[in-house]
Amino acid sequence: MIAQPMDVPSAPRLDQIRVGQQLPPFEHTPTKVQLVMYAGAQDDYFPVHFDHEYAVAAGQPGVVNHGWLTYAILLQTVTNWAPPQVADVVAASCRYVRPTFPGEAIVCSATVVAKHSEERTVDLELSATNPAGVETTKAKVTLHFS
Amino acid sequence: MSVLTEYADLLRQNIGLCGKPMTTEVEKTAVRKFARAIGETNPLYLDPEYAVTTRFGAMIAPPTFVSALMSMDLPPLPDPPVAFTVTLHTDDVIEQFAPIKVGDVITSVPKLADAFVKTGRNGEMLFTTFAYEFTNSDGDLIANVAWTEVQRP
Repeated sequence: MIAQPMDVPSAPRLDQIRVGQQLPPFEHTPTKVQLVMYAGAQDDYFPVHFDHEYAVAAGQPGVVNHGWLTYAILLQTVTNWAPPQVADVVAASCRYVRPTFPGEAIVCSATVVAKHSEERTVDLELSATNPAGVETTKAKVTLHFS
Repeated sequence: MSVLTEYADLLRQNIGLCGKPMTTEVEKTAVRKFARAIGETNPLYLDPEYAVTTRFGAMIAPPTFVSALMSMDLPPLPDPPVAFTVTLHTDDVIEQFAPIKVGDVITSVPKLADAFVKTGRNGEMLFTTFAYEFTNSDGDLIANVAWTEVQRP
């Protein structure tokens, strides 16, 4: 049996999506343990992500989240709303404006900026801010609905 | 013309130069570990018995799993004329043409894509972009990924 989009009852349908729509907000606070898990999973052992003294010597207040981890968390704002059961991420880009840190919430928002009904794609703009409300990360995503 | 802009010009003569490829078999355990590390709970990334019932027919990897498949054997480039004290990762761009599934054998090859200098509050900064093609064992292009770093003396 092939699972249908009804597997994810809350997932949006392309015809219901409108330009300007805000996605449900999402936030996540990485822990230092998560950085270790991520370092192993990506195979990235750059010390700025686990060695406090190294990070301080590099001019940071402490260890810094992996950019790719912040990106993965930001993308979950989109994939929690429209998971791969209903839509594929066909393009994504991320800009790291400021570093993000373990113990600090990554507060994510996403907005639909374009919809191409013929191609069955939706473009979104994403932003993450730190607990002080300063933008740390921006992203763009194109979703293709099955 | 500054030493850094001369270096960027020299780097640009090497645009297209490739590093060494890396081939990885996408394993179930590696995808699960990656999904858990980013906090994902979607069973498509965790449960092969569920995934086989979906349109994918197998467990798939989250979109940023490409970061775990990138060869870090970068193209051999001329040595910089100055020591860099700051290196920061600024951008990651993904174009995904097909999902990455457990069992795929993926080869990534890095190449120099761009180098340029911008002047900011802290003086001149060198931006360097490396672009990757990801192909499967049939030679199909699965994804393009580009990352950019900025360095300053």
